[in-house]
Amino acid sequence: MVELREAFAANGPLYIMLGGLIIGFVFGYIVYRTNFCTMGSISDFMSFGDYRRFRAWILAGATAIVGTQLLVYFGILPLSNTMYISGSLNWLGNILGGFIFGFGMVFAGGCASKNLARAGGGDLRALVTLVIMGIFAYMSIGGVLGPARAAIESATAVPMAGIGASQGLADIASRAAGIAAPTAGLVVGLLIAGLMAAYCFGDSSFRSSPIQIVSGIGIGLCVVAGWAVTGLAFDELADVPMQPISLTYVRPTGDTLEWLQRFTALGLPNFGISSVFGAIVGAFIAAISMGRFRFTTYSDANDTIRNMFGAALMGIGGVMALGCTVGQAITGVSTLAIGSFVTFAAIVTGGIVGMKAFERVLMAEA
Amino acid sequence: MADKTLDAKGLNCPIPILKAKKAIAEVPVGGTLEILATDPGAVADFQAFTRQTGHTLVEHSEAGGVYRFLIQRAA
Repeated sequence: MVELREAFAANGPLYIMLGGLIIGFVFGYIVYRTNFCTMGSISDFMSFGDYRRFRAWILAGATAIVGTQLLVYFGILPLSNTMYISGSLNWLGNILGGFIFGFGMVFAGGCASKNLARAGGGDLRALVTLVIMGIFAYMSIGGVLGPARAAIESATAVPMAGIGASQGLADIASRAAGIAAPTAGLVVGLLIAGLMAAYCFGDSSFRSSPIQIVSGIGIGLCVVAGWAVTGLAFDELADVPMQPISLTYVRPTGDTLEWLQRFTALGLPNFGISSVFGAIVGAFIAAISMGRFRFTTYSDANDTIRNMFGAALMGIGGVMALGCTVGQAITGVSTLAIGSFVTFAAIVTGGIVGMKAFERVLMAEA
Repeated sequence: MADKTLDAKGLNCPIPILKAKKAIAEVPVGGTLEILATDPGAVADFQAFTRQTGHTLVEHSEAGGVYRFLIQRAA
């Protein structure tokens, strides 16, 4: 393990870039090919009671939990160095941000990942959605919306020191049971993932939908692969250590816009940026292979407004909640951070409320 | 000839499904609804829609990037 880590760390930025490209590619390919869609999954169960795509999303989370906790257990991923395992719980940011993101994704024809896949398939609307989302993400990080977001966070964040070293369930269980955090994480992770898998496979229509099963497991494994690469490349002693990260698509979309404009100052693209490019190309190849690549655009002004509105909300919400339907609801969940589970619930709630609101908007237009 | 045609061309998920749900209710039982869409995801969406609601997907085809679905209303 030490040799592998040293080999990775020696060329860290290169491996991280290649890893991001390849993992993003596979992710984009799977999303397009299997029609994986977190927003669509909410539409499915609300419109006609089909929970298969929702279960695929849950299965992705379960797969990611098991793989990620194994990586931690075997010393590949230093979990406490990730952004999810923080010392305080930003609960209001998680709830508000998740809700805003979930609400917005209904209007934007899908979450951040889905829009990357759509863009790869030739949807020019999705390309504009990504640009707007990226700009609003940056506005919320350190731009005009930044101070308001930071004020909300600092006023409400709850320190976790009383119950554990961080908001991670592994740290909390570790203190409660008096066992090492990686072991605690594996036990808690297997328990939670087991429940999630039971929810998925307890349903006969899901069991008989191989596409949904492959979709969920494949996307979960992409997240695990991301953690493996960036975990191995993590060098604590580097001048600027690169925090381990895996698939998440709101901030990285903003980073990609910045990187395109400031390449000479920034150098090699980080994991997030390369995974954005990878996902678009992966979806492009999938669209071509299915004979579905076609340039499409807005149908009218209302369609444009709806999509732009959704894109802006996704940028703001994604930053407030520290992630999207993938970044928090799969990648964050895989770290067993409490905030990620909270965000997941908030995104689904926002999606449900958003779907009802969206239906009303459409009826009013008609 | 379908009893009703829903033109959802140029609209992304979930709009075609939301509109189809409303439109199928306006077709008599046993009657047909024709849907035109351009979102590639619509194929899987309408297969799931009919599978779940009991309506019949009588036929679906694609020509020049336009997907056409013919759905027969069940009770």
